[in-house]
Amino acid sequence: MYSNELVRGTLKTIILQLLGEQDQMYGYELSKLVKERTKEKIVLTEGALYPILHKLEKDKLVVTNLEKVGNRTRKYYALTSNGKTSAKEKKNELLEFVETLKVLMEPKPIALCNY
Amino acid sequence: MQLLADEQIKHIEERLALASLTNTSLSIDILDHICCMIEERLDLGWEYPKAEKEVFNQMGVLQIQAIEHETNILTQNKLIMKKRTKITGLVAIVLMTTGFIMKMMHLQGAALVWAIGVFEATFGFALFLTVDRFRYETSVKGKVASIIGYLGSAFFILGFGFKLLSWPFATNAMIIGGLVLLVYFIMNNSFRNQEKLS
Repeated sequence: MYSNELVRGTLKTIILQLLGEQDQMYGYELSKLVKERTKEKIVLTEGALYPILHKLEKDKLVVTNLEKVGNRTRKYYALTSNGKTSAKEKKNELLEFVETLKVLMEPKPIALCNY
Repeated sequence: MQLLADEQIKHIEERLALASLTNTSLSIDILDHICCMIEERLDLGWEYPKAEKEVFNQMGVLQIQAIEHETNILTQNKLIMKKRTKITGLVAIVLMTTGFIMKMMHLQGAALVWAIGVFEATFGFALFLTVDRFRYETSVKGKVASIIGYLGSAFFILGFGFKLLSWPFATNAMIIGGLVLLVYFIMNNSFRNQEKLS
Protein backbone atom coordinates (compact mmCIF):
# COMPACT_ATOMS: atom_id res chain seq x y z
CA MET A 1 0.00 0.00 0.00
CA TYR A 2 1.32 3.43 -0.93
CA SER A 3 1.91 5.97 1.79
CA ASN A 4 -0.75 8.59 2.53
CA GLU A 5 1.69 11.33 1.58
CA LEU A 6 2.00 9.97 -1.95
CA VAL A 7 -1.70 9.32 -2.45
CA ARG A 8 -3.13 12.48 -0.87
CA GLY A 9 -2.37 14.82 -3.75
CA THR A 10 -3.92 12.53 -6.33
CA LEU A 11 -7.19 11.60 -4.61
CA LYS A 12 -9.24 14.37 -6.22
CA THR A 13 -8.03 13.33 -9.67
CA ILE A 14 -8.73 9.65 -8.95
CA ILE A 15 -12.28 10.39 -7.78
CA LEU A 16 -13.04 12.68 -10.74
CA GLN A 17 -11.63 10.11 -13.14
CA LEU A 18 -13.70 7.24 -11.73
CA LEU A 19 -16.88 9.32 -11.63
CA GLY A 20 -16.27 10.15 -15.29
CA GLU A 21 -16.34 6.47 -16.19
CA GLN A 22 -19.92 5.95 -15.02
CA ASP A 23 -23.12 7.96 -14.91
CA GLN A 24 -23.15 8.09 -11.13
CA MET A 25 -21.51 6.34 -8.19
CA TYR A 26 -21.89 6.25 -4.42
CA GLY A 27 -19.14 6.57 -1.85
CA TYR A 28 -18.70 2.93 -0.90
CA GLU A 29 -18.74 1.91 -4.56
CA LEU A 30 -15.92 4.36 -5.28
CA SER A 31 -13.76 3.13 -2.40
CA LYS A 32 -14.33 -0.49 -3.37
CA LEU A 33 -13.51 0.15 -7.02
CA VAL A 34 -10.23 1.86 -6.13
CA LYS A 35 -9.30 -0.96 -3.76
CA GLU A 36 -10.05 -3.65 -6.32
CA ARG A 37 -8.53 -1.93 -9.33
CA THR A 38 -5.28 -1.10 -7.56
CA LYS A 39 -5.14 -4.47 -5.80
CA GLU A 40 -5.28 -2.66 -2.45
CA LYS A 41 -2.23 -0.56 -3.26
CA ILE A 42 -4.40 2.53 -2.95
CA VAL A 43 -7.08 2.51 -0.28
CA LEU A 44 -9.64 5.30 -0.32
CA THR A 45 -10.58 5.62 3.34
CA GLU A 46 -13.86 7.19 4.44
CA GLY A 47 -11.87 9.93 6.14
CA ALA A 48 -10.33 10.95 2.83
CA LEU A 49 -13.19 10.14 0.46
CA TYR A 50 -16.18 12.02 1.90
CA PRO A 51 -14.47 15.35 2.65
CA ILE A 52 -13.23 15.41 -0.96
CA LEU A 53 -16.64 14.44 -2.39
CA HIS A 54 -18.29 17.22 -0.39
CA LYS A 55 -15.64 19.70 -1.48
CA LEU A 56 -16.21 18.69 -5.13
CA GLU A 57 -19.93 19.18 -4.60
CA LYS A 58 -19.34 22.62 -3.09
CA ASP A 59 -17.13 23.54 -6.05
CA LYS A 60 -19.96 22.39 -8.35
CA LEU A 61 -17.79 19.73 -10.00
CA VAL A 62 -20.22 17.00 -8.94
CA VAL A 63 -23.94 16.89 -8.29
CA THR A 64 -25.73 14.51 -5.94
CA ASN A 65 -28.84 12.49 -6.33
CA LEU A 66 -30.65 10.76 -3.45
CA GLU A 67 -32.17 7.35 -4.08
CA LYS A 68 -33.93 4.87 -1.83
CA VAL A 69 -32.05 1.59 -1.50
CA GLY A 70 -34.01 -0.86 0.60
CA ASN A 71 -34.80 0.99 3.81
CA ARG A 72 -32.19 3.68 3.60
CA THR A 73 -31.17 6.61 1.46
CA ARG A 74 -28.14 6.45 -0.79
CA LYS A 75 -26.41 9.47 -2.22
CA TYR A 76 -25.08 9.14 -5.75
CA TYR A 77 -22.43 11.47 -7.12
CA ALA A 78 -22.19 12.43 -10.78
CA LEU A 79 -19.89 14.78 -12.68
CA THR A 80 -21.20 18.12 -13.89
CA SER A 81 -19.98 19.53 -17.22
CA ASN A 82 -17.40 21.57 -15.28
CA GLY A 83 -16.45 18.38 -13.45
CA LYS A 84 -15.89 16.55 -16.74
CA THR A 85 -13.59 19.32 -17.98
CA SER A 86 -11.76 19.38 -14.66
CA ALA A 87 -11.38 15.57 -14.72
CA LYS A 88 -9.71 15.72 -18.14
CA GLU A 89 -7.41 18.57 -17.12
CA LYS A 90 -6.43 16.91 -13.87
CA LYS A 91 -5.80 13.58 -15.56
CA ASN A 92 -3.53 15.18 -18.17
CA GLU A 93 -1.73 17.14 -15.49
CA LEU A 94 -1.16 14.00 -13.42
CA LEU A 95 0.09 11.98 -16.40
CA GLU A 96 2.49 14.77 -17.32
CA PHE A 97 3.64 14.88 -13.73
CA VAL A 98 4.33 11.12 -13.77
CA GLU A 99 6.35 11.52 -16.98
CA THR A 100 8.32 14.36 -15.40
CA LEU A 101 8.96 12.24 -12.34
CA LYS A 102 10.25 9.44 -14.55
CA VAL A 103 12.71 11.82 -16.21
CA LEU A 104 13.80 12.98 -12.79
CA MET A 105 14.10 9.54 -11.21
CA GLU A 106 15.58 7.71 -14.20
CA PRO A 107 17.95 10.18 -15.83
CA LYS A 108 19.36 9.16 -19.20
CA PRO A 109 23.16 8.78 -19.24
CA ILE A 110 24.88 11.86 -20.68
CA ALA A 111 26.54 11.09 -24.01
CA LEU A 112 30.25 11.75 -23.92
CA CYS A 113 31.94 13.23 -26.96
CA ASN A 114 35.18 11.67 -28.16
CA TYR A 115 37.59 14.22 -29.50
CA MET B 1 -26.07 -8.47 -1.87
CA GLN B 2 -28.14 -8.76 1.31
CA LEU B 3 -29.93 -5.59 2.41
CA LEU B 4 -30.19 -4.72 6.08
CA ALA B 5 -33.56 -4.84 7.80
CA ASP B 6 -35.35 -1.79 9.26
CA GLU B 7 -34.44 -2.60 12.87
CA GLN B 8 -30.81 -3.11 11.96
CA ILE B 9 -30.64 0.27 10.20
CA LYS B 10 -32.37 1.90 13.18
CA HIS B 11 -29.78 0.36 15.48
CA ILE B 12 -26.96 1.68 13.31
CA GLU B 13 -28.60 5.12 13.26
CA GLU B 14 -28.72 5.09 17.06
CA ARG B 15 -25.02 4.28 17.25
CA LEU B 16 -24.27 6.91 14.64
CA ALA B 17 -26.21 9.48 16.69
CA LEU B 18 -23.50 9.19 19.36
CA ALA B 19 -21.18 11.03 16.98
CA SER B 20 -23.62 14.02 17.01
CA LEU B 21 -23.04 14.85 13.37
CA THR B 22 -24.43 18.24 12.36
CA ASN B 23 -23.88 17.79 8.63
CA THR B 24 -26.99 15.86 7.54
CA SER B 25 -25.70 15.38 4.01
CA LEU B 26 -22.59 13.68 5.39
CA SER B 27 -24.71 11.58 7.78
CA ILE B 28 -26.50 10.05 4.77
CA ASP B 29 -23.13 9.10 3.26
CA ILE B 30 -21.77 7.64 6.49
CA LEU B 31 -24.93 5.65 7.26
CA ASP B 32 -24.97 4.13 3.79
CA HIS B 33 -21.23 3.42 3.96
CA ILE B 34 -21.55 1.62 7.29
CA CYS B 35 -24.55 -0.37 6.01
CA CYS B 36 -22.58 -1.38 2.89
CA MET B 37 -19.63 -2.49 5.01
CA ILE B 38 -21.90 -4.64 7.18
CA GLU B 39 -23.76 -6.08 4.18
CA GLU B 40 -20.47 -7.05 2.58
CA ARG B 41 -19.57 -9.05 5.69
CA LEU B 42 -23.03 -10.65 5.82
CA ASP B 43 -22.50 -11.83 2.24
CA LEU B 44 -19.34 -13.53 3.42
CA GLY B 45 -21.43 -15.47 5.93
CA TRP B 46 -20.83 -13.39 9.05
CA GLU B 47 -23.47 -13.10 11.78
CA TYR B 48 -25.01 -9.62 12.01
CA PRO B 49 -23.81 -8.73 15.57
CA LYS B 50 -20.24 -9.71 14.71
CA ALA B 51 -20.33 -7.77 11.43
CA GLU B 52 -21.71 -4.64 13.11
CA LYS B 53 -19.19 -4.85 15.93
CA GLU B 54 -16.29 -5.21 13.53
CA VAL B 55 -17.41 -2.29 11.37
CA PHE B 56 -17.87 0.02 14.36
CA ASN B 57 -14.45 -1.01 15.61
CA GLN B 58 -13.08 0.21 12.29
CA MET B 59 -15.24 3.31 12.19
CA GLY B 60 -15.71 4.54 15.73
CA VAL B 61 -17.38 7.73 16.95
CA LEU B 62 -14.08 9.62 16.96
CA GLN B 63 -13.27 8.64 13.37
CA ILE B 64 -16.75 9.69 12.23
CA GLN B 65 -16.39 13.03 14.02
CA ALA B 66 -12.99 13.46 12.41
CA ILE B 67 -14.55 12.93 8.97
CA GLU B 68 -17.08 15.68 9.68
CA HIS B 69 -14.35 17.96 11.01
CA GLU B 70 -12.24 17.40 7.89
CA THR B 71 -15.28 17.96 5.66
CA ASN B 72 -16.07 21.24 7.41
CA ILE B 73 -12.50 22.43 7.07
CA LEU B 74 -12.45 21.62 3.36
CA THR B 75 -15.85 23.04 2.54
CA GLN B 76 -16.05 26.06 4.83
CA ASN B 77 -12.49 27.30 5.23
CA LYS B 78 -13.36 29.26 8.32
CA LEU B 79 -14.03 28.83 12.00
CA ILE B 80 -17.52 27.45 12.44
CA MET B 81 -19.36 29.20 15.22
CA LYS B 82 -22.03 26.87 16.53
CA LYS B 83 -25.60 28.03 17.14
CA ARG B 84 -25.19 27.84 20.93
CA THR B 85 -22.15 30.16 20.69
CA LYS B 86 -24.07 32.70 18.64
CA ILE B 87 -27.03 32.58 21.02
CA THR B 88 -24.90 32.99 24.18
CA GLY B 89 -23.04 35.88 22.50
CA LEU B 90 -26.29 37.61 21.65
CA VAL B 91 -27.67 37.10 25.17
CA ALA B 92 -24.47 38.48 26.71
CA ILE B 93 -24.60 41.60 24.51
CA VAL B 94 -28.27 42.22 25.33
CA LEU B 95 -27.72 41.74 29.08
CA MET B 96 -24.60 43.90 29.22
CA THR B 97 -26.14 46.70 27.13
CA THR B 98 -29.31 46.66 29.21
CA GLY B 99 -27.32 46.60 32.45
CA PHE B 100 -25.13 49.49 31.27
CA ILE B 101 -28.12 51.64 30.24
CA MET B 102 -29.88 50.86 33.54
CA LYS B 103 -26.72 51.78 35.41
CA MET B 104 -26.51 55.12 33.59
CA MET B 105 -30.14 55.78 34.50
CA HIS B 106 -29.49 54.70 38.12
CA LEU B 107 -32.24 52.10 37.94
CA GLN B 108 -32.59 49.33 40.51
CA GLY B 109 -31.22 45.91 39.50
CA ALA B 110 -28.74 47.40 37.03
CA ALA B 111 -25.75 45.84 38.79
CA LEU B 112 -27.38 42.40 38.77
CA VAL B 113 -28.22 42.53 35.03
CA TRP B 114 -24.72 43.78 34.21
CA ALA B 115 -23.09 41.10 36.39
CA ILE B 116 -25.14 38.29 34.80
CA GLY B 117 -24.21 39.64 31.37
CA VAL B 118 -20.50 39.70 32.27
CA PHE B 119 -20.56 36.16 33.66
CA GLU B 120 -22.55 34.97 30.65
CA ALA B 121 -20.02 36.54 28.28
CA THR B 122 -17.12 34.94 30.16
CA PHE B 123 -18.40 31.47 30.96
CA GLY B 124 -20.89 31.22 28.09
CA PHE B 125 -19.93 32.97 24.88
CA ALA B 126 -16.13 33.15 25.31
CA LEU B 127 -15.95 29.56 26.56
CA PHE B 128 -18.10 28.16 23.72
CA LEU B 129 -16.11 30.19 21.19
CA THR B 130 -12.92 28.66 22.58
CA VAL B 131 -14.39 25.15 22.39
CA ASP B 132 -15.37 25.76 18.73
CA ARG B 133 -11.90 27.08 17.92
CA PHE B 134 -10.25 24.24 19.86
CA ARG B 135 -12.09 21.72 17.69
CA TYR B 136 -11.32 23.68 14.52
CA GLU B 137 -7.58 23.88 15.18
CA THR B 138 -5.65 20.85 14.01
CA SER B 139 -2.24 21.69 15.48
CA VAL B 140 -1.22 21.59 19.15
CA LYS B 141 0.02 25.20 18.89
CA GLY B 142 -3.38 26.35 17.69
CA LYS B 143 -5.14 24.50 20.50
CA VAL B 144 -2.80 25.98 23.14
CA ALA B 145 -3.26 29.46 21.64
CA SER B 146 -7.04 29.12 21.87
CA ILE B 147 -6.82 28.25 25.59
CA ILE B 148 -4.45 31.17 26.30
CA GLY B 149 -6.77 33.45 24.35
CA TYR B 150 -9.69 32.33 26.47
CA LEU B 151 -7.85 32.86 29.77
CA GLY B 152 -6.80 36.36 28.71
CA SER B 153 -10.23 37.40 27.53
CA ALA B 154 -11.95 35.83 30.57
CA PHE B 155 -9.78 37.79 33.01
CA PHE B 156 -10.19 40.97 30.97
CA ILE B 157 -13.98 40.75 30.65
CA LEU B 158 -14.38 39.90 34.36
CA GLY B 159 -12.03 42.76 35.33
CA PHE B 160 -13.94 45.19 33.14
CA GLY B 161 -17.26 43.97 34.54
CA PHE B 162 -16.03 44.22 38.15
CA LYS B 163 -14.62 47.70 37.50
CA LEU B 164 -18.01 49.08 36.56
CA LEU B 165 -19.47 47.57 39.72
CA SER B 166 -16.51 48.83 41.81
CA TRP B 167 -15.84 45.27 42.96
CA PRO B 168 -12.42 44.25 44.33
CA PHE B 169 -9.59 42.84 42.18
CA ALA B 170 -11.05 44.51 39.07
CA THR B 171 -7.84 46.35 38.11
CA ASN B 172 -5.67 43.29 38.86
CA ALA B 173 -7.89 41.07 36.71
CA MET B 174 -7.78 43.58 33.85
CA ILE B 175 -3.97 43.84 34.02
CA ILE B 176 -3.56 40.03 34.13
CA GLY B 177 -6.06 39.64 31.28
CA GLY B 178 -4.32 42.32 29.21
CA LEU B 179 -0.91 40.72 29.68
CA VAL B 180 -2.18 37.24 28.82
CA LEU B 181 -3.92 38.65 25.74
CA LEU B 182 -0.67 40.33 24.71
CA VAL B 183 1.10 36.96 24.93
CA TYR B 184 -1.79 35.41 22.96
CA PHE B 185 -1.61 38.01 20.16
CA ILE B 186 2.17 37.65 19.82
CA MET B 187 1.93 33.86 19.84
CA ASN B 188 -1.00 33.76 17.44
CA ASN B 189 0.63 36.21 15.05
CA SER B 190 3.91 34.32 14.82
CA PHE B 191 2.00 31.05 14.49
CA ARG B 192 -0.14 32.41 11.59
CA ASN B 193 2.99 33.81 9.89
CA GLN B 194 4.64 30.39 10.13
CA GLU B 195 1.51 28.82 8.63
CA LYS B 196 1.54 31.30 5.72
CA LEU B 197 5.23 30.63 5.07
CA SER B 198 4.74 26.88 5.11
